[in-house]
Amino acid sequence: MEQYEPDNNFSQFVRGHWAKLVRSTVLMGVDPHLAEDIVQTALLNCFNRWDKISSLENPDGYVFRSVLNAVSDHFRKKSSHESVLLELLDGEAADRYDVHERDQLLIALAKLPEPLRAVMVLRFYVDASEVQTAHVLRVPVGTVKSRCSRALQALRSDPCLSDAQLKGKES
Amino acid sequence: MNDFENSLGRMMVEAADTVHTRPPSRLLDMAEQPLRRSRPVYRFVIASIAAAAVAAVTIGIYVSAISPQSERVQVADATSAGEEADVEPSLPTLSAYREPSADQLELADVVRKNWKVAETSRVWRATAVLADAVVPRSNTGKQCLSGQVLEVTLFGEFSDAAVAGRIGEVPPKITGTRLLADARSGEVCLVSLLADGASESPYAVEFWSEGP
Repeated sequence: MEQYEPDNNFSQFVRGHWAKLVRSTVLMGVDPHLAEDIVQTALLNCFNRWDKISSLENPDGYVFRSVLNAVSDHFRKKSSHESVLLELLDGEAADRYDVHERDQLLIALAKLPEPLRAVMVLRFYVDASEVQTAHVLRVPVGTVKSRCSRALQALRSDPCLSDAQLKGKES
Repeated sequence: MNDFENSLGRMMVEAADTVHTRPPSRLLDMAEQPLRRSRPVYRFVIASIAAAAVAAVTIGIYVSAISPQSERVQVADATSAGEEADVEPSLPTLSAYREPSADQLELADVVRKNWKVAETSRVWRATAVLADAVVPRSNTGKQCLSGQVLEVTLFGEFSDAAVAGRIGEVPPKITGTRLLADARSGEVCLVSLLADGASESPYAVEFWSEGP
């Protein structure tokens, strides 16, 4: 058996990126508990190949893509859960029980198709450029632009955001 | 970026910042511990064994699928009342979880005491966490409409039988029962069974455990 040195590089990466990865996953529509599980699983997979990943030009992008892939897998397997979340906090229930602004934003985001949601999270939360977003999602820059435009159009007309602070901020 | 996009970005950051999280110590420990890795020859042997195991399982699934005697196992005795329940945990809220107050922990203990587990099951630990949620649909006939729910999780050994739905799969071991109760009335509105490796909220507070 060979003895390897501790991989401090990886633990530093985890400390520096953990919160952003989990929060991005939550914005993708995943429950906070599950978001932690998903990110942890994705990071464990990355840890096994960290020698290669850390030598990449953009390891952040690789890890982000791993997490987004894991989120996609989660939605494929748990599509019934996603609809339950929306039913519970959408529409009447949201009005009656004063679900706060954050949930309204999450609901509006959750209504977007997953590829559009990923673009919104990368562009507006992670603050990635169109080129970086295209690199992470492995799509052309033009696709990022069109997805972004469609997502913004959908959010502007979303009733969940109509009364929220967003509209006030817009004016 | 225009005003709308700026506001949206700000809202997304504000929304995300309400999620409090920190890297699990296990993950960091693993990265910081000296790692032992096997030599390539051992890796080859391990990979061969894994491939053989996968092939055996695949053949087993195929054989059981074409066998006329094969039967689908159903979820049985899922709750204390003998009703069917979801095997997967129900997650009713997008809101951040937080620690319950002392009164809410007392209520959680009442929920635990009132929940009857099968005689062959054993509970040794109970935790609770508070969340904003409304549960108009339920699998117990009750509703949680106050706007806040207590997620009471009973950990232990449960005799409930459950399958993932595929013939030939080993049934998951049930290690917990999660009760979603209204934080005001204490009515249980959603019951889920937790299979192996179910995660626990970092804000969950242990309020009861079996004596030494």
